[in-house]
Amino acid sequence: MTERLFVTGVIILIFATLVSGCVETEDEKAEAVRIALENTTVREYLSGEYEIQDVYYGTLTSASGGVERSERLPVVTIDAGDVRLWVFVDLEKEAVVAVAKNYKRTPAIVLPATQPGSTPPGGEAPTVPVPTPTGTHR
Amino acid sequence: MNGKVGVWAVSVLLAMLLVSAVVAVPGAAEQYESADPVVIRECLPAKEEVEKLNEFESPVAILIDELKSKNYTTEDITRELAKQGYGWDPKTGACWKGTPPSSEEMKIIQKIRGSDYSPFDAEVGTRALEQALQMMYVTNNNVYRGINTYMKPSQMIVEQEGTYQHVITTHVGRKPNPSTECWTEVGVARSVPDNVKQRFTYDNDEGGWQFHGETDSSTYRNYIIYVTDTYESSGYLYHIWIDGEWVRSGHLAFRENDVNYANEIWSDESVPAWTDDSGIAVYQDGFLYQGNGAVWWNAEVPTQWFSSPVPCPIRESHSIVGNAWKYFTWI
Repeated sequence: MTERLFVTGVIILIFATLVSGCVETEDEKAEAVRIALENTTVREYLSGEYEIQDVYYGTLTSASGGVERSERLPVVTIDAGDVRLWVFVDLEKEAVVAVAKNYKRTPAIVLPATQPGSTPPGGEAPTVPVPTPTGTHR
Repeated sequence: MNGKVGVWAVSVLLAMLLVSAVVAVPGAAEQYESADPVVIRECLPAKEEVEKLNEFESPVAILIDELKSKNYTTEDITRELAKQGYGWDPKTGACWKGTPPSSEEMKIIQKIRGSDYSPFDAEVGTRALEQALQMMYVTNNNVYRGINTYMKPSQMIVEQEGTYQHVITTHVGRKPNPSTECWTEVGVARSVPDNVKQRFTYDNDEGGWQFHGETDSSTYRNYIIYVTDTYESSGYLYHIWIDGEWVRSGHLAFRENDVNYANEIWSDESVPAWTDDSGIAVYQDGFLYQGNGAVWWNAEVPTQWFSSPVPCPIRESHSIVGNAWKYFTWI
Protein backbone atom coordinates (compact mmCIF):
# COMPACT_ATOMS: atom_id res chain seq x y z
CA MET A 1 0.00 0.00 0.00
CA THR A 2 2.82 2.38 0.93
CA GLU A 3 4.60 1.51 -2.31
CA ARG A 4 1.48 2.28 -4.32
CA LEU A 5 1.12 5.62 -2.62
CA PHE A 6 4.78 6.35 -3.33
CA VAL A 7 4.41 5.45 -7.01
CA THR A 8 1.24 7.50 -7.29
CA GLY A 9 3.04 10.42 -5.70
CA VAL A 10 5.91 10.15 -8.17
CA ILE A 11 3.48 10.06 -11.09
CA ILE A 12 1.61 13.09 -9.78
CA LEU A 13 4.92 14.90 -9.30
CA ILE A 14 6.00 14.12 -12.89
CA PHE A 15 2.63 15.20 -14.20
CA ALA A 16 2.66 18.40 -12.16
CA THR A 17 6.17 19.24 -13.35
CA LEU A 18 5.31 18.62 -16.99
CA VAL A 19 1.95 20.28 -17.07
CA SER A 20 1.71 23.01 -14.49
CA GLY A 21 5.16 24.54 -14.96
CA CYS A 22 4.88 26.16 -11.53
CA VAL A 23 7.95 27.61 -9.92
CA GLU A 24 8.40 25.66 -6.69
CA THR A 25 8.65 28.26 -3.93
CA GLU A 26 7.87 31.88 -3.24
CA ASP A 27 11.60 32.42 -2.63
CA GLU A 28 12.39 31.12 -6.13
CA LYS A 29 9.75 33.40 -7.59
CA ALA A 30 11.10 36.40 -5.74
CA GLU A 31 14.64 35.59 -6.80
CA ALA A 32 13.59 35.17 -10.43
CA VAL A 33 11.80 38.53 -10.34
CA ARG A 34 14.82 40.22 -8.73
CA ILE A 35 17.18 38.88 -11.40
CA ALA A 36 14.78 39.87 -14.17
CA LEU A 37 14.28 43.41 -12.91
CA GLU A 38 18.02 44.02 -12.55
CA ASN A 39 18.69 43.08 -16.16
CA THR A 40 19.78 45.97 -18.39
CA THR A 41 17.61 44.96 -21.34
CA VAL A 42 14.56 44.48 -19.16
CA ARG A 43 15.08 47.81 -17.45
CA GLU A 44 14.76 49.58 -20.80
CA TYR A 45 11.10 48.56 -20.70
CA LEU A 46 10.41 49.58 -17.11
CA SER A 47 10.53 53.36 -17.28
CA GLY A 48 6.75 53.62 -17.18
CA GLU A 49 4.16 51.57 -15.39
CA TYR A 50 4.64 47.84 -15.46
CA GLU A 51 3.21 44.77 -13.81
CA ILE A 52 4.79 41.45 -12.92
CA GLN A 53 2.13 39.07 -14.17
CA ASP A 54 3.42 35.60 -13.41
CA VAL A 55 6.44 33.43 -12.68
CA TYR A 56 6.50 29.85 -13.92
CA TYR A 57 8.73 27.31 -15.60
CA GLY A 58 8.76 27.50 -19.39
CA THR A 59 10.77 25.95 -22.19
CA LEU A 60 13.20 28.03 -24.21
CA THR A 61 14.62 26.53 -27.38
CA SER A 62 17.74 28.17 -28.81
CA ALA A 63 19.71 27.65 -32.01
CA SER A 64 23.02 29.27 -32.83
CA GLY A 65 26.09 28.27 -34.80
CA GLY A 66 24.30 25.17 -36.03
CA VAL A 67 23.66 23.88 -32.49
CA GLU A 68 20.20 23.66 -30.93
CA ARG A 69 19.16 23.04 -27.35
CA SER A 70 16.09 23.33 -25.11
CA GLU A 71 16.01 24.30 -21.45
CA ARG A 72 13.28 24.56 -18.85
CA LEU A 73 13.78 27.80 -16.98
CA PRO A 74 11.85 30.11 -14.69
CA VAL A 75 10.05 32.75 -16.74
CA VAL A 76 8.98 36.12 -15.40
CA THR A 77 6.19 37.67 -17.44
CA ILE A 78 5.92 41.45 -17.34
CA ASP A 79 3.22 43.70 -18.78
CA ALA A 80 5.19 46.80 -19.76
CA GLY A 81 2.89 49.18 -21.57
CA ASP A 82 2.85 48.43 -25.26
CA VAL A 83 4.71 45.14 -24.98
CA ARG A 84 4.57 42.01 -22.89
CA LEU A 85 7.93 40.51 -21.84
CA TRP A 86 8.93 36.95 -21.06
CA VAL A 87 12.20 36.97 -19.13
CA PHE A 88 13.92 33.57 -18.90
CA VAL A 89 16.14 33.36 -15.82
CA ASP A 90 18.96 31.05 -14.69
CA LEU A 91 18.63 31.00 -10.90
CA GLU A 92 22.00 29.32 -10.29
CA LYS A 93 23.95 31.77 -12.40
CA GLU A 94 21.73 34.65 -11.31
CA ALA A 95 21.47 35.73 -14.93
CA VAL A 96 18.87 36.46 -17.55
CA VAL A 97 19.13 33.93 -20.37
CA ALA A 98 16.67 35.48 -22.81
CA VAL A 99 14.15 38.27 -23.11
CA ALA A 100 11.27 37.66 -25.51
CA LYS A 101 8.63 40.25 -26.22
CA ASN A 102 5.31 40.46 -27.95
CA TYR A 103 3.68 43.67 -29.11
CA LYS A 104 0.18 44.82 -28.24
CA ARG A 105 -1.93 46.10 -31.10
CA THR A 106 -4.57 48.74 -30.53
CA PRO A 107 -7.36 47.98 -30.84
CA ALA A 108 -6.81 44.30 -30.26
CA ILE A 109 -9.92 43.28 -32.18
CA VAL A 110 -10.93 44.70 -35.51
CA LEU A 111 -14.28 44.65 -37.21
CA PRO A 112 -14.89 43.80 -40.86
CA ALA A 113 -13.17 45.91 -43.47
CA THR A 114 -16.16 46.63 -45.68
CA GLN A 115 -15.28 49.82 -47.47
CA PRO A 116 -15.64 49.86 -51.24
CA GLY A 117 -11.91 50.39 -51.66
CA SER A 118 -11.20 46.93 -50.30
CA THR A 119 -8.58 45.06 -52.29
CA PRO A 120 -9.99 41.82 -53.73
CA PRO A 121 -8.29 38.45 -53.21
CA GLY A 122 -5.06 38.27 -55.13
CA GLY A 123 -4.70 42.03 -55.16
CA GLU A 124 -5.23 44.40 -58.04
CA ALA A 125 -2.99 46.54 -60.18
CA PRO A 126 -2.71 50.22 -59.26
CA THR A 127 -5.00 52.34 -61.41
CA VAL A 128 -3.32 55.68 -60.87
CA PRO A 129 -1.31 57.19 -63.70
CA VAL A 130 2.07 56.69 -62.08
CA PRO A 131 5.14 54.75 -63.19
CA THR A 132 4.98 51.04 -62.52
CA PRO A 133 6.74 50.35 -59.25
CA THR A 134 9.99 48.54 -59.64
CA GLY A 135 12.29 46.87 -57.24
CA THR A 136 10.06 44.17 -55.84
CA HIS A 137 11.96 41.00 -55.25
CA ARG A 138 10.44 37.59 -55.77
CA MET B 1 6.74 -9.34 -6.06
CA ASN B 2 4.23 -9.63 -8.89
CA GLY B 3 2.32 -6.75 -7.31
CA LYS B 4 5.42 -4.54 -7.37
CA VAL B 5 6.10 -5.40 -10.99
CA GLY B 6 2.51 -4.60 -11.83
CA VAL B 7 2.62 -1.23 -10.09
CA TRP B 8 5.87 -0.28 -11.78
CA ALA B 9 4.57 -1.48 -15.14
CA VAL B 10 1.55 0.76 -14.74
CA SER B 11 3.67 3.72 -13.66
CA VAL B 12 6.09 3.24 -16.56
CA LEU B 13 3.15 3.00 -18.93
CA LEU B 14 1.67 6.21 -17.54
CA ALA B 15 5.01 7.97 -17.82
CA MET B 16 5.36 6.80 -21.42
CA LEU B 17 1.87 8.04 -22.20
CA LEU B 18 2.74 11.40 -20.72
CA VAL B 19 5.98 11.66 -22.64
CA SER B 20 4.39 10.49 -25.88
CA ALA B 21 1.66 13.10 -25.49
CA VAL B 22 4.36 15.74 -25.36
CA VAL B 23 6.70 14.51 -28.10
CA ALA B 24 4.30 12.88 -30.57
CA VAL B 25 2.78 16.12 -31.78
CA PRO B 26 5.67 17.11 -34.08
CA GLY B 27 4.96 13.89 -35.96
CA ALA B 28 1.85 15.53 -37.28
CA ALA B 29 4.01 18.24 -38.78
CA GLU B 30 6.38 15.69 -40.33
CA GLN B 31 3.45 13.86 -41.88
CA TYR B 32 2.10 17.14 -43.16
CA GLU B 33 5.47 18.13 -44.53
CA SER B 34 5.46 15.23 -46.96
CA ALA B 35 2.53 16.82 -48.81
CA ASP B 36 4.02 20.29 -48.74
CA PRO B 37 6.41 22.00 -51.17
CA VAL B 38 9.91 21.31 -49.92
CA VAL B 39 11.79 24.24 -51.36
CA ILE B 40 10.40 27.20 -53.23
CA ARG B 41 13.66 29.00 -53.90
CA GLU B 42 17.31 28.16 -53.69
CA CYS B 43 19.18 31.44 -54.08
CA LEU B 44 19.58 34.54 -52.00
CA PRO B 45 18.96 37.82 -53.83
CA ALA B 46 21.88 39.50 -55.54
CA LYS B 47 23.07 42.82 -54.15
CA GLU B 48 21.52 44.56 -57.14
CA GLU B 49 18.10 43.17 -56.23
CA VAL B 50 18.44 44.33 -52.65
CA GLU B 51 19.56 47.73 -53.87
CA LYS B 52 16.29 47.99 -55.84
CA LEU B 53 14.36 47.49 -52.62
CA ASN B 54 16.46 50.18 -50.99
CA GLU B 55 15.68 52.64 -53.78
CA PHE B 56 12.03 51.68 -54.19
CA GLU B 57 9.51 54.48 -54.30
CA SER B 58 5.90 53.51 -53.72
CA PRO B 59 3.17 54.46 -56.21
CA VAL B 60 1.45 56.42 -53.46
CA ALA B 61 4.58 58.42 -52.61
CA ILE B 62 5.00 59.24 -56.30
CA LEU B 63 1.37 60.30 -56.57
CA ILE B 64 1.60 62.43 -53.42
CA ASP B 65 4.67 64.21 -54.81
CA GLU B 66 2.84 64.81 -58.07
CA LEU B 67 -0.23 66.22 -56.32
CA LYS B 68 1.91 68.39 -54.05
CA SER B 69 3.67 69.79 -57.09
CA LYS B 70 0.24 70.85 -58.31
CA ASN B 71 -0.40 72.61 -55.00
CA TYR B 72 -3.10 70.20 -53.82
CA THR B 73 -4.01 70.71 -50.18
CA THR B 74 -3.60 67.90 -47.65
CA GLU B 75 -7.35 67.32 -47.72
CA ASP B 76 -7.38 67.18 -51.52
CA ILE B 77 -4.50 64.69 -51.54
CA THR B 78 -6.25 62.52 -48.97
CA ARG B 79 -9.39 62.56 -51.08
CA GLU B 80 -7.53 61.72 -54.30
CA LEU B 81 -5.70 58.85 -52.63
CA ALA B 82 -8.91 57.47 -51.16
CA LYS B 83 -10.44 57.32 -54.65
CA GLN B 84 -7.70 54.85 -55.57
CA GLY B 85 -7.95 52.78 -52.40
CA TYR B 86 -4.88 54.43 -50.93
CA GLY B 87 -4.30 56.09 -47.60
CA TRP B 88 -1.57 58.11 -45.95
CA ASP B 89 -0.50 59.84 -42.79
CA PRO B 90 0.08 63.49 -43.78
CA LYS B 91 2.24 64.10 -40.71
CA THR B 92 4.84 61.46 -41.57
CA GLY B 93 4.26 60.54 -45.21
CA ALA B 94 3.50 56.92 -44.31
CA CYS B 95 1.21 55.43 -46.95
CA TRP B 96 -0.55 52.24 -47.86
CA LYS B 97 -2.78 50.48 -50.30
CA GLY B 98 -5.46 48.80 -48.26
CA THR B 99 -8.57 49.14 -46.19
CA PRO B 100 -8.58 50.43 -42.63
CA PRO B 101 -11.40 49.91 -40.15
CA SER B 102 -13.88 52.69 -40.94
CA SER B 103 -14.56 55.49 -38.48
CA GLU B 104 -17.94 53.91 -37.75
CA GLU B 105 -16.29 50.57 -37.08
CA MET B 106 -13.75 52.25 -34.82
CA LYS B 107 -16.62 53.80 -32.85
CA ILE B 108 -18.13 50.37 -32.35
CA ILE B 109 -14.78 48.99 -31.25
CA GLN B 110 -14.32 51.78 -28.74
CA LYS B 111 -17.88 51.36 -27.51
CA ILE B 112 -17.39 47.66 -26.95
CA ARG B 113 -13.93 47.84 -25.49
CA GLY B 114 -13.58 51.30 -24.04
CA SER B 115 -11.12 53.87 -25.35
CA ASP B 116 -8.32 52.66 -23.09
CA TYR B 117 -8.96 48.98 -23.64
CA SER B 118 -5.98 46.68 -23.40
CA PRO B 119 -6.15 42.93 -23.96
CA PHE B 120 -3.68 42.50 -21.13
CA ASP B 121 -5.23 44.67 -18.47
CA ALA B 122 -8.19 43.37 -16.52
CA GLU B 123 -8.64 46.76 -14.85
CA VAL B 124 -10.01 48.48 -17.93
CA GLY B 125 -12.44 47.54 -20.66
CA THR B 126 -15.39 45.26 -20.33
CA ARG B 127 -13.41 42.05 -20.35
CA ALA B 128 -9.72 41.30 -20.77
CA LEU B 129 -8.82 38.96 -23.58
CA GLU B 130 -6.46 36.15 -22.72
CA GLN B 131 -3.65 35.50 -25.17
CA ALA B 132 -1.61 32.46 -26.10
CA LEU B 133 1.26 32.61 -28.52
CA GLN B 134 4.14 30.74 -30.07
CA MET B 135 7.13 32.71 -31.36
CA MET B 136 10.33 32.21 -33.32
CA TYR B 137 12.68 35.20 -33.19
CA VAL B 138 16.22 36.36 -33.82
CA THR B 139 18.14 37.24 -30.67
CA ASN B 140 20.23 40.05 -32.20
CA ASN B 141 18.23 43.20 -32.75
CA ASN B 142 21.04 45.23 -34.31
CA VAL B 143 21.81 43.10 -37.36
CA TYR B 144 18.77 42.49 -39.55
CA ARG B 145 16.92 45.14 -41.52
CA GLY B 146 14.03 43.07 -42.76
CA ILE B 147 12.75 39.70 -43.83
CA ASN B 148 11.59 37.90 -46.96
CA THR B 149 9.60 34.74 -46.28
CA TYR B 150 6.83 32.48 -47.52
CA MET B 151 3.91 31.73 -45.22
CA LYS B 152 0.77 29.64 -45.41
CA PRO B 153 -1.75 30.01 -42.59
CA SER B 154 -3.86 27.30 -41.03
CA GLN B 155 -7.67 27.50 -41.20
CA MET B 156 -7.46 29.88 -38.22
CA ILE B 157 -10.89 28.79 -37.02
CA VAL B 158 -12.51 31.31 -34.66
CA GLU B 159 -15.69 31.24 -32.61
CA GLN B 160 -17.39 33.33 -29.96
CA GLU B 161 -16.71 30.94 -27.10
CA GLY B 162 -13.29 29.73 -28.18
CA THR B 163 -10.47 31.33 -30.12
CA TYR B 164 -11.88 34.82 -30.63
CA GLN B 165 -9.04 36.19 -32.75
CA HIS B 166 -6.15 34.48 -34.52
CA VAL B 167 -3.15 36.29 -36.01
CA ILE B 168 -0.20 34.69 -37.81
CA THR B 169 2.34 37.40 -38.37
CA THR B 170 5.90 38.63 -38.86
CA HIS B 171 7.07 41.58 -36.75
CA VAL B 172 9.98 43.92 -37.49
CA GLY B 173 10.81 46.69 -35.03
CA ARG B 174 12.82 47.86 -32.06
CA LYS B 175 12.25 50.02 -29.04
CA PRO B 176 13.53 53.56 -29.69
CA ASN B 177 13.31 55.00 -26.21
CA PRO B 178 12.06 54.21 -22.72
CA SER B 179 8.50 55.30 -23.36
CA THR B 180 7.51 53.92 -26.75
CA GLU B 181 7.74 50.94 -29.07
CA CYS B 182 8.05 51.16 -32.82
CA TRP B 183 7.18 48.22 -35.01
CA THR B 184 5.45 47.09 -38.16
CA GLU B 185 4.15 43.69 -39.20
CA VAL B 186 2.56 41.71 -42.00
CA GLY B 187 0.53 38.51 -41.84
CA VAL B 188 -2.95 37.03 -41.78
CA ALA B 189 -5.68 37.80 -39.25
CA ARG B 190 -9.07 36.31 -38.54
CA SER B 191 -11.51 37.21 -35.78
CA VAL B 192 -15.12 36.60 -34.85
CA PRO B 193 -16.21 40.07 -35.99
CA ASP B 194 -14.16 39.71 -39.19
CA ASN B 195 -14.57 36.05 -39.95
CA VAL B 196 -12.38 35.70 -43.04
CA LYS B 197 -8.64 35.22 -43.35
CA GLN B 198 -7.38 38.69 -44.24
CA ARG B 199 -3.89 39.67 -45.25
CA PHE B 200 -3.02 42.61 -43.05
CA THR B 201 -0.28 45.02 -42.14
CA TYR B 202 0.01 46.99 -38.93
CA ASP B 203 2.12 49.93 -37.81
CA ASN B 204 1.75 50.94 -34.20
CA ASP B 205 2.16 54.68 -34.79
CA GLU B 206 1.48 55.24 -38.50
CA GLY B 207 -1.91 54.03 -39.62
CA GLY B 208 -2.58 51.01 -37.41
CA TRP B 209 -4.37 48.11 -39.11
CA GLN B 210 -4.69 47.92 -42.89
CA PHE B 211 -6.22 45.06 -44.85
CA HIS B 212 -5.05 43.84 -48.23
CA GLY B 213 -7.54 41.19 -49.30
CA GLU B 214 -8.44 37.66 -48.32
CA THR B 215 -6.24 34.62 -48.45
CA ASP B 216 -6.71 30.90 -47.97
CA SER B 217 -5.08 28.20 -45.91
CA SER B 218 -3.40 26.32 -48.76
CA THR B 219 -1.58 29.11 -50.58
CA TYR B 220 1.95 30.15 -49.77
CA ARG B 221 2.33 33.88 -50.11
CA ASN B 222 5.54 35.87 -50.12
CA TYR B 223 5.88 38.53 -47.42
CA ILE B 224 8.63 41.14 -47.45
CA ILE B 225 9.48 43.87 -44.97
CA TYR B 226 12.54 45.92 -45.88
CA VAL B 227 13.97 48.89 -43.99
CA THR B 228 15.79 51.27 -46.33
CA ASP B 229 18.78 53.55 -45.78
CA THR B 230 16.49 56.55 -46.22
CA TYR B 231 16.14 58.44 -42.96
CA GLU B 232 13.27 60.91 -42.70
CA SER B 233 11.90 62.97 -39.83
CA SER B 234 9.84 60.00 -38.59
CA GLY B 235 12.63 57.44 -38.91
CA TYR B 236 13.95 54.94 -41.43
CA LEU B 237 11.63 54.43 -44.38
CA TYR B 238 10.39 50.84 -44.74
CA HIS B 239 8.28 49.08 -47.36
CA ILE B 240 6.10 45.98 -47.26
CA TRP B 241 5.22 43.77 -50.23
CA ILE B 242 2.84 40.81 -50.37
CA ASP B 243 3.43 38.51 -53.33
CA GLY B 244 5.59 41.18 -54.92
CA GLU B 245 2.90 43.84 -54.70
CA TRP B 246 3.69 46.89 -52.60
CA VAL B 247 1.12 47.43 -49.87
CA ARG B 248 2.61 49.78 -47.32
CA SER B 249 5.40 52.22 -46.41
CA GLY B 250 6.15 53.75 -43.05
CA HIS B 251 8.98 54.46 -40.67
CA LEU B 252 10.90 52.59 -38.01
CA ALA B 253 13.22 54.08 -35.43
CA PHE B 254 16.12 51.85 -36.44
CA ARG B 255 17.43 50.38 -39.65
CA GLU B 256 18.36 47.13 -37.87
CA ASN B 257 15.61 45.52 -35.81
CA ASP B 258 14.11 42.60 -33.94
CA VAL B 259 12.49 40.13 -36.33
CA ASN B 260 10.08 37.33 -35.46
CA TYR B 261 7.37 34.95 -36.61
CA ALA B 262 4.39 34.71 -34.24
CA ASN B 263 1.25 32.62 -34.01
CA GLU B 264 -1.10 34.48 -31.68
CA ILE B 265 -4.59 33.62 -30.45
CA TRP B 266 -6.97 35.35 -28.06
CA SER B 267 -9.93 34.12 -26.09
CA ASP B 268 -12.71 36.37 -24.91
CA GLU B 269 -13.75 33.94 -22.18
CA SER B 270 -12.99 34.64 -18.53
CA VAL B 271 -11.54 31.14 -18.43
CA PRO B 272 -9.65 30.96 -21.73
CA ALA B 273 -11.11 28.51 -24.21
CA TRP B 274 -9.35 27.60 -27.44
CA THR B 275 -10.87 26.26 -30.64
CA ASP B 276 -9.37 23.24 -32.35
CA ASP B 277 -7.86 24.52 -35.55
CA SER B 278 -7.57 22.68 -38.83
CA GLY B 279 -4.24 22.42 -40.58
CA ILE B 280 -0.84 23.83 -39.79
CA ALA B 281 0.60 27.27 -40.44
CA VAL B 282 3.99 27.06 -42.15
CA TYR B 283 6.80 29.54 -42.68
CA GLN B 284 9.54 28.50 -45.07
CA ASP B 285 12.41 29.70 -47.24
CA GLY B 286 12.87 32.79 -45.10
CA PHE B 287 15.90 35.01 -45.37
CA LEU B 288 16.91 38.10 -43.43
CA TYR B 289 18.20 41.29 -44.97
CA GLN B 290 21.58 42.16 -43.55
CA GLY B 291 23.88 44.99 -44.61
CA ASN B 292 23.48 45.32 -48.37
CA GLY B 293 22.59 41.67 -48.87
CA ALA B 294 20.77 38.82 -47.17
CA VAL B 295 21.38 35.65 -45.16
CA TRP B 296 19.21 32.58 -44.88
CA TRP B 297 17.35 32.34 -41.60
CA ASN B 298 18.84 29.02 -40.59
CA ALA B 299 20.67 27.41 -37.67
CA GLU B 300 23.61 29.79 -38.06
CA VAL B 301 21.41 32.74 -37.09
CA PRO B 302 20.98 33.00 -33.30
CA THR B 303 17.31 32.17 -32.89
CA GLN B 304 14.95 31.24 -30.07
CA TRP B 305 11.50 29.71 -29.79
CA PHE B 306 9.07 29.92 -26.91
CA SER B 307 5.39 29.67 -26.16
CA SER B 308 3.02 31.09 -23.57
CA PRO B 309 1.21 30.27 -21.34
CA VAL B 310 2.19 26.88 -19.88
CA PRO B 311 0.67 24.59 -21.01
CA CYS B 312 0.25 26.33 -24.36
CA PRO B 313 -2.50 25.40 -26.83
CA ILE B 314 -0.20 26.36 -29.72
CA ARG B 315 2.47 23.87 -30.76
CA GLU B 316 5.47 24.21 -33.04
CA SER B 317 8.03 22.17 -34.88
CA HIS B 318 11.00 23.42 -36.86
CA SER B 319 13.67 21.92 -39.06
CA ILE B 320 16.01 23.03 -41.78
CA VAL B 321 14.44 22.35 -45.16
CA GLY B 322 16.39 23.56 -48.15
CA ASN B 323 18.40 26.53 -46.89
CA ALA B 324 16.22 27.85 -44.10
CA TRP B 325 14.08 26.95 -41.12
CA LYS B 326 10.74 25.49 -41.95
CA TYR B 327 8.57 26.51 -39.02
CA PHE B 328 5.31 24.67 -38.39
CA THR B 329 2.88 25.99 -35.83
CA TRP B 330 -0.60 24.74 -35.01
CA ILE B 331 -3.31 24.47 -32.37
